[in-house]
Amino acid sequence: MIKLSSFKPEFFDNNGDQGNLAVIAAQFSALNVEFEISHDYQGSDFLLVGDCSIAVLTHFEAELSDLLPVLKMRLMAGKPTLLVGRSYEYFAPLLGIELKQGERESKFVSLRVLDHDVFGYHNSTVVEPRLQISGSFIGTTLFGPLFAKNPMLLKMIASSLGVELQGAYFERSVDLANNVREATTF
Amino acid sequence: MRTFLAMALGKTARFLLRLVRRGGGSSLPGTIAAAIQPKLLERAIQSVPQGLVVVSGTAGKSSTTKIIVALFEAHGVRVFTNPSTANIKQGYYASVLQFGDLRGRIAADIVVLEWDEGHGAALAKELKPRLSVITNVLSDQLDRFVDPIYVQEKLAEIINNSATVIANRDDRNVAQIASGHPETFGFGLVAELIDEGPSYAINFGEKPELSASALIKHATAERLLIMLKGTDLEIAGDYENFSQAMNVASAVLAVDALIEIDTELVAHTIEALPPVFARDEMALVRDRLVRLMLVQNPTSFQLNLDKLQTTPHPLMIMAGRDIHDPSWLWTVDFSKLDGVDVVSGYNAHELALRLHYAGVEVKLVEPKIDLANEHFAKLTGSEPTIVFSADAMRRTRRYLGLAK
Repeated sequence: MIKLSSFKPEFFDNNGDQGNLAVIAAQFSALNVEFEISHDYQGSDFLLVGDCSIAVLTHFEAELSDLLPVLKMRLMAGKPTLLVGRSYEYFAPLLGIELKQGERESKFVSLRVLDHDVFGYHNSTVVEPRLQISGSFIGTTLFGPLFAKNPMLLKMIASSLGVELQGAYFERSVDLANNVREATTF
Repeated sequence: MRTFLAMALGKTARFLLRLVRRGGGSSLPGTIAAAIQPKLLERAIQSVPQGLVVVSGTAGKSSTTKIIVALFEAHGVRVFTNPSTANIKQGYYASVLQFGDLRGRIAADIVVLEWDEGHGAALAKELKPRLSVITNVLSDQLDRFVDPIYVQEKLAEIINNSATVIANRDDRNVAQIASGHPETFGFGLVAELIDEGPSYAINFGEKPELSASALIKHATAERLLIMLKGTDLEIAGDYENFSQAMNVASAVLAVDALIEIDTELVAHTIEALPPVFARDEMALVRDRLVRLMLVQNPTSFQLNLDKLQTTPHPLMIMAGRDIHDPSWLWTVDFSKLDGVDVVSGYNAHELALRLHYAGVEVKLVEPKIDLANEHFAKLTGSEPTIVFSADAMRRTRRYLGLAK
């Protein structure tokens, strides 16, 4: 059974980032793929660390330190992982990802990384990398339902979990995501 | 002379705009007036003898402001206020143009303004409120404010520039910034109710004790019981939503801090109040009653959805341009809806994607407000309901000729 987990989802959900987990779950349910959602991130197949407030980041600093070795291993192995927003900005330097800082920008952005065209809402002082993909390990400043809006990224993550997304539900999801992209002003 | 010119040109622009935009408002006349006389607002407020009362915070501003205004007026105090949700600087200028004379003076005893939490900090330094009501700090509009801690900082500016402060003692974000002010009066829930009360932006810091000047002892579907400075005040009405009970408590405390109140009159006045502009109201649209529900953030969206016992039909949900980053739609639980007939507004496709993953079938996605309303008008059903964001509300009201 595929194990999906999220680090303290009740606190790390600043911009609906937990929706990414819901999106994977909905796609798997549509395909009758067996999975479980667990708060225990040890040994999870997919791990989400969502965006959080400054207060949350400060309060859970010790727990985040405990998480660092796990993330280092996942990054080295390219395991399916999603770090979002402030969590990404916190961990990036500790994981050897150099962040270039600049003026804060709050807007929709479209990025091309490796073979992926990805868009989402960026509200950060990070100039680059706004999206870092190593295998199936993703770190990004882009908030919210990244996988819902970028079904090819979702397909890549699902594939690395051994699931090929296909069928009517996925096709409908792709159509709706394309509509969102077309209606988005960058 | 500048004031006269600003008022004359602003009023003319306002008149002409209202000829071409039926019932609709615009920030243009206010922008013109402000460019000519930047101190227009300051001077208008200075012309009012009892000074300025402001209401700020993330949620509850409009309701609280309306209640304060109604209570002052019931006690014979003439009030100047900003209508509807025009709670930023341009909105105040528009109000001065509407109600001021050509010398920029307002015929009122007191000014009561709803202040956007972002704009209020700068205004507070100029306008020095006599009293400010600070409702709460929620995790909201992060695309704009980045983090609740920055909202806290902005509200602190308002507090530090106010002579008297009415502060939410249950919200530690507010208590932390209000506790150092020498004239702070707290409102909130009694200890037994706090766990059932509203949630605020996460804050792990200390919670300073503010005075328990207005404490909500009971808030049910039938009545509200507030202990106001040791005396019970009972108000009939539906207060199952504790947020509205908190709005009432803060408003009563604010008015009590400035004038001698008649508690019986207070209760009667609040009991007679209509719902705040489209927060949840019934409106006659093309010969049928339509329920209009305004949603402005995840909290109010969820509260409104939770109020629905079953899914009303036809149901139209509209997400307008005011939702700059629609990511927060993903924090709202839509799963109780059995279907949505129309989604509309600038962010219609974002909403449709969210509803798809929530397992809610959407029959029509029509971003254009006019076309969506025309389609909605043709749908049959016993409980026509529109849930909309502020921008979609304004556009819909204007299109349907409902704007005030």
